[in-house]
Amino acid sequence: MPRLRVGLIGAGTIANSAHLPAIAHLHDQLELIAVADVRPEAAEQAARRYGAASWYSDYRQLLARPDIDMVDICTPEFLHGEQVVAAAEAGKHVLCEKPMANSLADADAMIAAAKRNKVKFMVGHSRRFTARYRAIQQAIGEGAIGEVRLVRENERRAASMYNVMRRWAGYWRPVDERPWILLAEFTYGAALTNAVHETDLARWFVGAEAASVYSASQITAPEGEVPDFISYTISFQNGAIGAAEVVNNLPPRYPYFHMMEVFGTEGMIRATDPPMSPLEHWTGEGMRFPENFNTLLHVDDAYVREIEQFAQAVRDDTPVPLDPWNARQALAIALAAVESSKTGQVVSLPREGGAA
Amino acid sequence: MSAPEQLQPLEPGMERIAIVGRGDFADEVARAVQALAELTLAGRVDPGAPLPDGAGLVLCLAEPEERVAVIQQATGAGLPVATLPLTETGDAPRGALGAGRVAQVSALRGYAALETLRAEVAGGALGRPYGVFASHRVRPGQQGLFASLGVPLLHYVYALAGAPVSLAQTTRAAIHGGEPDAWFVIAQTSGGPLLTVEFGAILPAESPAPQELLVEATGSEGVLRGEPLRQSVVVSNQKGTSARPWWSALGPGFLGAALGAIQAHDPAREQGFLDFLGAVYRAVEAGQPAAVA
Repeated sequence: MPRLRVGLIGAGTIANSAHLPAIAHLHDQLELIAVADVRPEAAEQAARRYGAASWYSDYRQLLARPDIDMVDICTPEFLHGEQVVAAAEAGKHVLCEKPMANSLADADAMIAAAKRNKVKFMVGHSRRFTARYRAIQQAIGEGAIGEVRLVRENERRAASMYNVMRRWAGYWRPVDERPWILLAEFTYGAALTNAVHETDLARWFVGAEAASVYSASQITAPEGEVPDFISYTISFQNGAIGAAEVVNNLPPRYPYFHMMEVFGTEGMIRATDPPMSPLEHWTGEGMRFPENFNTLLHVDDAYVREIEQFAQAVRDDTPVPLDPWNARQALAIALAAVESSKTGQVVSLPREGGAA
Repeated sequence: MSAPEQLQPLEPGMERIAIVGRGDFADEVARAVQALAELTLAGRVDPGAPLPDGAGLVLCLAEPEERVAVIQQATGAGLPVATLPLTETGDAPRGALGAGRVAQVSALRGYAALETLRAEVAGGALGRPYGVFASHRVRPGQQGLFASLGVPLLHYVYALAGAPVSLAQTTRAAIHGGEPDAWFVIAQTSGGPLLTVEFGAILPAESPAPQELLVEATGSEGVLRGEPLRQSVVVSNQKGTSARPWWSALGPGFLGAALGAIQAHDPAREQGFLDFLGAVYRAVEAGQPAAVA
């Protein structure tokens, strides 16, 4: 079986912590050809570490190579629209990290470009490929809890987790040495960067489209310009509810924590990190948790599964395992949460004119 | 507070306590009063009955619809009142709160874990507060959910926040039938934490535990998590798994909290809770968040 030739764009945190290791794991199926990043040193470092012969500071040079079959886009969401469309126009199959984009117009343009150029396109909502959540969906599909009426999630991350990841992989720091993920010019904050996981899972499990969203948020990081704490409620068209609280800036040593509960008419499913983390250290100084993203049970091999299944769809010319419309709808909910937290009002979906 | 030795010194006269209310909880609190040498149970009466002679403080443990009348009766007699939180927000309850020295206290403060959490937060354990998440769930079939689950939890969270609530949104859902049995309240405070409160009869009828209660407070320096009802014996056999709670009576802890609350009486905060409650009600009716008056 010939290997698919891969170009990766955006050698930052998610690429180094998840995508590049997964591609390396799939070396019998994938060959990393080149890496691009606006930071030449980041592109070179990733290329050397994961065995690519080429690196670029301009992603368009990577797209111009005829020997690349698919690209894996791991840049910040505000770049996804431009880069996915460019990749599709260059005839490359495209796997793009979530969130899909920072606007529905970009999301629609991405889907249209992929169709127009007859390339495969998928947004990497990794939790769709995570064993924990797949098991939940399977149980729902088997009717284990009847009709889903409520999806309740709390996700908590310590600031130190991000600090470790920054040291390890490095964020793009475009302004005053501050990472893009804190800056309003480049992101809307937690509603998109991680709460889009929650909006996607809630929509997946409920099996209906959202009717309205209410959200409130806070900026807790001293250097932050965008909310890193969000609490929201989604009302779905079938009357079910999705509710979540996402907090990103907790004190050091607080364990990554995700509580997922699904309530149905005939039962409930609970999947949480028991008791708080899959790995605990007990010492004479008390209990502590590792600051290591890779110890999280529910991440496991999700990225390997995600990339492998996408590559399989490319190779076999079959539909991708996650239609990008799902990512687009999860984005619509997340953008409605952004709007709601700004206006203090409930935001109805779909927007007038069919935008969502 | 659960240990008698932690009782704060009382103002003269307040050691003679009258309890107004029926049922198990009133029994527990009455026993707690009698167990402390520095307190005297002046009497225990049903709502509507004359107050016991010699009382210096009234503990109102009456049903929600009876509380305003009990407060009016006690303040009319010049007595301070510590009461379970009011559930209505009209002129009568506001007038009752303003007629004398009246402090509302959630029964949830009887749980040692939650009272400890409250004390830690008050002592600055969170650093800069970020949020409070609170959840109280029971099995299907319980009636009067807002008064029985919602108001105590909202009051506990309101007291924990320690900041004025500015905006509240309420979303309801029907999990097990046609009528709403789940409530979700998101409330913003002025300079304080973001509040997320959930309550409802949403547990499956066959859930191992009859109820679940969780409070988590997050901040720049700490995260505090209280789950008082996890104190249970879990039995697994051929019939499945059940959790048999063994948590101790709430009376002693509640008594300590009530005495502390009446001594720290803040009239503006008492009215502020009714303002918060009013916004929660209005948000249900309007389908949009309501500003707190």
